[in-house]
Amino acid sequence: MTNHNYSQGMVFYHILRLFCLFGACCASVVNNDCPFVFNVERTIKNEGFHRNVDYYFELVSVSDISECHVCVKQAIPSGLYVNKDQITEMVRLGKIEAAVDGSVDIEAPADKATPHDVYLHVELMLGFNTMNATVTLPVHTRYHSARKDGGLEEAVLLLPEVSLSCSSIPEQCKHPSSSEGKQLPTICPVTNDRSDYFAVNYETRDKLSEILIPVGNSSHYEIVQLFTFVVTWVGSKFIYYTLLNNRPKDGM
Amino acid sequence: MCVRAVKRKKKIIPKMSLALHCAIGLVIRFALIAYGVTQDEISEVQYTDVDYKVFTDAARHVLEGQSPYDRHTYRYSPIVAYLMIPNIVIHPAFGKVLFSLSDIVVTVLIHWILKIEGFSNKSAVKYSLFWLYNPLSVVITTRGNADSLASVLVMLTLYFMEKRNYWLTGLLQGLSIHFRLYPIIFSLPLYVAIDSSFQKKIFRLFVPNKNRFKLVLSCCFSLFSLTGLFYWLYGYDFLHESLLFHLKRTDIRHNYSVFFYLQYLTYKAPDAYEIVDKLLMVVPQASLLMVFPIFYSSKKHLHFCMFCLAFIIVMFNTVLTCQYFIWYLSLVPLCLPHLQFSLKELMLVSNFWFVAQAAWLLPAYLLEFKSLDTFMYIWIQCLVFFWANVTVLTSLIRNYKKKEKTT
Repeated sequence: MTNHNYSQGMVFYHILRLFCLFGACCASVVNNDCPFVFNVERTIKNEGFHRNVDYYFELVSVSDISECHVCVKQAIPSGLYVNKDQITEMVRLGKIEAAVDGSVDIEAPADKATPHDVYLHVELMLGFNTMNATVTLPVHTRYHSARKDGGLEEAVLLLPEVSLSCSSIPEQCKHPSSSEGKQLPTICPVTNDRSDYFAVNYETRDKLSEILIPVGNSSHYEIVQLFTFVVTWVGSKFIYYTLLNNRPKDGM
Repeated sequence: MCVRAVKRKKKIIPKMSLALHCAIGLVIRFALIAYGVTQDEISEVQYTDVDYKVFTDAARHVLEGQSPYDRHTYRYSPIVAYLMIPNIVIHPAFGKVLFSLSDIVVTVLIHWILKIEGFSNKSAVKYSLFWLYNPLSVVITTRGNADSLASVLVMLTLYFMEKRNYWLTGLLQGLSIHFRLYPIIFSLPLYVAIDSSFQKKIFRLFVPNKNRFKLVLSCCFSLFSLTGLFYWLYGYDFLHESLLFHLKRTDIRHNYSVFFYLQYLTYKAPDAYEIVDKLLMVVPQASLLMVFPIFYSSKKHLHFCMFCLAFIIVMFNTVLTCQYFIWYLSLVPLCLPHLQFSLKELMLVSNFWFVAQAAWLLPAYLLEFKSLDTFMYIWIQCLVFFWANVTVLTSLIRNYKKKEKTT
């Protein structure tokens, strides 16, 4: 019942959004503004230390834009990491087009790790009224240092920087990145076949994504230290005692 | 496991030749390898061990003329990477097949060693099946863990020790240490197990003689020559990743180790605290590792002594995962004939060990996959599992009764 209502709600939401987008595009054209709307939706799947970040890109345009490529730069904070070897394997298997900038120590705790960037590349496919694409990035959480009373630590995944490369992209759609108000085309570090990527403004519902990570309770230190050593020392003495009482006659 | 218990279950294991058992064991492993491929494709929880991917990546680096240590977290001998090259040029499952074949070789070596010890073919087959059909070894191997190769080397060392070929025993012991470091703890029992003509015990234990000299010299030769060769090829990376890392390893992520939570809580502590904690961690196991070879110095106790040492190093390890159980599991069949448990004690002790291990999984799952703060519960389960290990080991010591000759 709940799912049914949810599905109906989602359908209504998508229809409403398409109308709004179409309206926005028309308004843009009338205002001689950018004749398309670009949406980026990001969803974090799974709980725990291993998450999947799903990106959904959608381009709604009233002008003749075709063959669009999206390049995403996602900053990964020190509390999280993207496993470079996992990405390499996914690239090899054709599951993703991505590259990790810099070295990533997957074993380091958050306070000893450094932030890094991940670049994703995806080609938008022509859908109903829109061009869209999805891509999933596996992200893992790091251990954080223990704190008083434990609880949950927060790692924030900031909004990604997105660049577009289309067969024809109107000048007014290019997001100004320099003080002169005109940006230069760049390449996407994932693929070198195109060099005309322009940063674009995009619509999104999420501003930032928080991932909660459980941390140890530093107030436990004394009790943990005491019991760990008592148990291990008593255990070893018990083994020694058993050995002494059951030692073979031909031994020491 | 006891002789009595095995006798009662006589009819459960049909009378078959070792070759037929090995063939069945191999088929089981191949079936699990095939199953693993399917699970890896459809499930989020991967069947294949993450280290198997590390080996394969390292092999890819080697194939491209680079160092296997270019692969982050590759902490093994370069030989493992060389052996995994067919994973890339032939089939990705090649390594798993190789590890499965290693399991079969271990089974055959156990059989041979038991026969040298004087057991009948039937008894030798019966005890070697403990390894062949052991669900832990089957699963760990087919997930792509390379420790079955280390088990082959340890078994070969023991085989040549039984044959009193001390040159080969030493060479293989050196190779084993190079391959997986932990067999270094077997060096002292191997040394003291070699017969000595001295009457006084302290001299009999430690004073070198011709055979002991052969063992030490050949062990040092293979260990240092392999270390030198790979240091020359891969430099400090090899030394650090395959050797030094294991000596100073501290993993703050949750695992079965009794020291896991303490290490996590103190990893940012000042060095002085860390040194004191390290000492308190190392002293109990180091003292036990020294004492066991002295009490079980006779050659006839060598297998049980090595088993106990492997068990101690695993239970006291600062990092403990299921794969470490392989270190002592391969030695169990050689001790089985001399363990005389009552069925009640066998059931109680083994159930305690399995339940303690299983009970750890729930809080660990809630932490890793549900982001719940269960550190305290995991730690308590680690303590319980440690005590289960103490119970198992003391029970084994009490029930170990080696006779002069058993058939």
